[in-house]
Amino acid sequence: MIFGNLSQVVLGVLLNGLGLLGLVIVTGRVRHRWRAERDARLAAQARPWLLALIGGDDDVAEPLDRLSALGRREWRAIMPSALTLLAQVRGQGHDALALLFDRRGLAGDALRGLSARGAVARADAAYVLGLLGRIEAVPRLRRLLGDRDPQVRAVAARALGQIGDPVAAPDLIGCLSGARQVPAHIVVQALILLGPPARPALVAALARGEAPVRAVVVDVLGFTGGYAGSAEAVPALARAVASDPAEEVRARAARALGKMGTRECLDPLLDATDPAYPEAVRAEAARALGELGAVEAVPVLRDLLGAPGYRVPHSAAEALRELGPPAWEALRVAAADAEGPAGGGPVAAHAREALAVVELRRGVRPPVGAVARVRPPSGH
Amino acid sequence: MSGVDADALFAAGQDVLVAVNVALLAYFLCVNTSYLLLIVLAARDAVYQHRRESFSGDESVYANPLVAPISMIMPAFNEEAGIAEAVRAMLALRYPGFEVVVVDDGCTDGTFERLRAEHDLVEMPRVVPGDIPVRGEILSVHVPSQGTVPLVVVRKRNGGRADATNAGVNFARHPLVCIVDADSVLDPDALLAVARPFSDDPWRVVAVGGTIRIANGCTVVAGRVTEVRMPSRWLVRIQVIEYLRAFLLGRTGWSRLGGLLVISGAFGLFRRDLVVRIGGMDPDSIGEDAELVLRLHRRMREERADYRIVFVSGPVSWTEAPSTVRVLARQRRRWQRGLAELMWKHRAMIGNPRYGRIGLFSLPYQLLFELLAPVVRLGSLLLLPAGLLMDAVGMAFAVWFVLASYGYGVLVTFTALAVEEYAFRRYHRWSDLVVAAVASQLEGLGYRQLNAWWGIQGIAAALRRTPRVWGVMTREGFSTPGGAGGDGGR
Amino acid sequence: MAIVLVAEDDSDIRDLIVFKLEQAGHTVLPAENGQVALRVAAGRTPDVALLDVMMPGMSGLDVCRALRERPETARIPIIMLTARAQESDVQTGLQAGADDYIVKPFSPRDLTQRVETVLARAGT
Repeated sequence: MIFGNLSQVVLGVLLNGLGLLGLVIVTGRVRHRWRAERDARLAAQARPWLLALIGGDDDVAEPLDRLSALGRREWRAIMPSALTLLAQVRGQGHDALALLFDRRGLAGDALRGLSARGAVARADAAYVLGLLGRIEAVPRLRRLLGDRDPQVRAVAARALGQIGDPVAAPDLIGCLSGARQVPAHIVVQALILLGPPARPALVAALARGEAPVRAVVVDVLGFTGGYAGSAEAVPALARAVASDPAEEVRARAARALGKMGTRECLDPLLDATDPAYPEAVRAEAARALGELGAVEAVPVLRDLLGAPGYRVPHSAAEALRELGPPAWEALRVAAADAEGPAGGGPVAAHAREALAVVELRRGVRPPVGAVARVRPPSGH
Repeated sequence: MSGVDADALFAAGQDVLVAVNVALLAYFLCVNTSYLLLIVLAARDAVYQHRRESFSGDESVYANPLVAPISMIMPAFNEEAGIAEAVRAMLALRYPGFEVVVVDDGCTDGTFERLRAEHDLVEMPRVVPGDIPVRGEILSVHVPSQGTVPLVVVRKRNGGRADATNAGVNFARHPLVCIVDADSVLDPDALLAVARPFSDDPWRVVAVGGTIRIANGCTVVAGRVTEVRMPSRWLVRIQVIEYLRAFLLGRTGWSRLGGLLVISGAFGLFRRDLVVRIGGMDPDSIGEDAELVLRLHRRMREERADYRIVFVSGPVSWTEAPSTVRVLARQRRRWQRGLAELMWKHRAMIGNPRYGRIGLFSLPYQLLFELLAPVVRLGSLLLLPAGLLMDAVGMAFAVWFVLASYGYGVLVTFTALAVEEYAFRRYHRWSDLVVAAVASQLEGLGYRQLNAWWGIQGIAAALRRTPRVWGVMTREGFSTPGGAGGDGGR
Repeated sequence: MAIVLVAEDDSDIRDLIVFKLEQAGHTVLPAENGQVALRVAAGRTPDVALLDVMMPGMSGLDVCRALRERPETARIPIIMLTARAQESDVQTGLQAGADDYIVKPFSPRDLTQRVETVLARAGT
């Protein structure tokens, strides 16, 4: 009775719930479509002006006026395209677009938006300022690196990279550790964009930071050090390869030296192939020697083919593959050591694999070869 | 006095039936409520993602020179019909650096020939690190004659999907391995999105699962889903609803709770060094993909590592679902059997505080609401009529029962549909919406009961085969072959 | 003036490129993906092709190779548009048969100039 009445009530609630959800779904779809159509229509009207603004060579006064005068709704429809193009275009087109954002008061809005209450609004503001490259936003973006919302911090870091003011380097490095971090890949990209002027801060961090920080710093040095004036970067990386407490940092430092590609990188890398170094470091050093393109490394790499385990000899063979005819000759000698399908042990097998790639690149199909297996090194 | 005895017995029976039926009712309330909560969690997640989409910076991930490269592993067994197109589609994914490793697991059809013709494969000598022991012997390794195509085809003797995957991991050169089915169709940005958590949190994320959706009915051009549609058969339509609720929203919810247990073998990304460290997939396991993830959890917990296993809802791997009752039955029996064996193998983890949320929360949930669900569902199908017949429960109770199990279930599914409509909008036609609404009703009328029956068969198969299967599974010990360095750090 | 095939999946960027090239007096054949690009090129042979490397489905590199395999387009200049200025990418592109590279973000004016430079070099 009570049971029965109550179940009727519940049934009613349930049916109404279903009806309501159905209504929500249908209205959601209708509204979404209607808006999409309206925005497409509005955007289509404004689009030619946007293209004329960005693609126009000299006279952009008219498109600029037209776009500045657009109503709110029209602008909102064309805004996604404007942002895409702002991110993808350099030079005059970018400047013209930035001018439009200025005219519409969006740069000012964004500067104010950096201290908005909502995290999405703050992130949005930082994003626009980064695309516009507004240097006056740098101090406030630096402060935003400590924001409580992780995505705001990430967008701020990216924006600082796009603006490219090297004063932000220590702050960017700082947000690799601590309670409020920014993902390393975003920091790396930002630091790379800051370029060589950020290098002193990086070298300093290599001496002080925690292991994950040092790992990132080493990566960035590898990417920005190749240009003129890598003087302070190479010794710092060489020190990291030789004596950093973390194996991961040492291995990455070896990789970075290979990327820098200057002559001073050769000796630290040759040193790092020594059996006293951990396997991961030796393997990276061997590969880096190949990337460096230094033919002097051939004898050392040749000897590394006989190292225990898989990684070191394999990297050495790959490096020899990249070093041209003298190295190929060394590979041929190693491969011919003991002919036969899998004869000659791992040294010959690694050499044969590398040679087959060399041959294939020259358009020669390799003879049918056997698959050789190497036991994983034990006791690591 | 036998009349009295019989009456007493009858009364006692009635009491038991009442108690059992009330328990069953409570069970269904719990199942549906838990799903509703997971869906709400998933919806919150989707709203959060959606609002931040514009500045999430996927483009910049793509341009990042340091983003970790991926080895895609495609184990293939007799896939000649679709393999060429599948590989072509994989090679065309948007990602800065990846290779495709196809493992021909002793195919007896033209799978390899198709690939050879398409890419002009040449055999290459190759030294393989024996990181993970492989059962089926490796026969040969082939690469395209055009050196720029990042494809490797490994031929081996048949050893099953897990064994083929392990061979693929051995051949993978990159620090991340993405395991996919040879017949799955990935969205162009799927790799970019599924790799995102690794970039954002490289020191903690160890595995990422991606969404699986059903490809039946969709238009696929050049290995890409170009038009999403509801399938034409009701049996598959119901599965679409089921995948949406359980595999998309359910897993998103579990991921938010930090208790994700299953990453589908059709689309999962793992750190190679860790897969090697735990010995790869277990070739004796039926649900080898789930088993791998659970073993990963187990190892991480035992090492007290600070780690995360995440699910991302955006990118999709489209996969073909069974369209006949016979094939579906086989699939479901296998799933349930896999789950049963998984729970048995890792029973020490269930309820064990040492394994944190996984032990205390996820596994007991799986046990109670997934493994035992078929038993309970079929049980209720017998016990409710029995209760009615014996006058233990009245019609009013029966109505309650149907409301709690069926009605509430449909409500949960509708909620899932609403989330889909606002967060993902994959289906564009109005008729798809009507079909989805009807399929949600049909699911509880026969489909779930059939599933329960196949589930029980699966559990029974697991119980019958127990000695043999477990006998072989003692090989857990050799899952630590040195752990050769590893690229990703701790 | 030349016929330019433009394959780019982002409609905003595609429109901008089309606008810029038409402004310079060229005839543009726009395509939103690799398959369409090849179909368009089969219908009307372009004098030069501008291909975005990363298009879903069929990448710019695939289109480049396919164009090189067809006798009518085997010799036309091909410029690749890419989001990454990595050496390995440039190398793959050149191996696939590209003549030049433009890195995004790009300058629209620079883009027309490059197109005209490769055309002049090809002697059209």
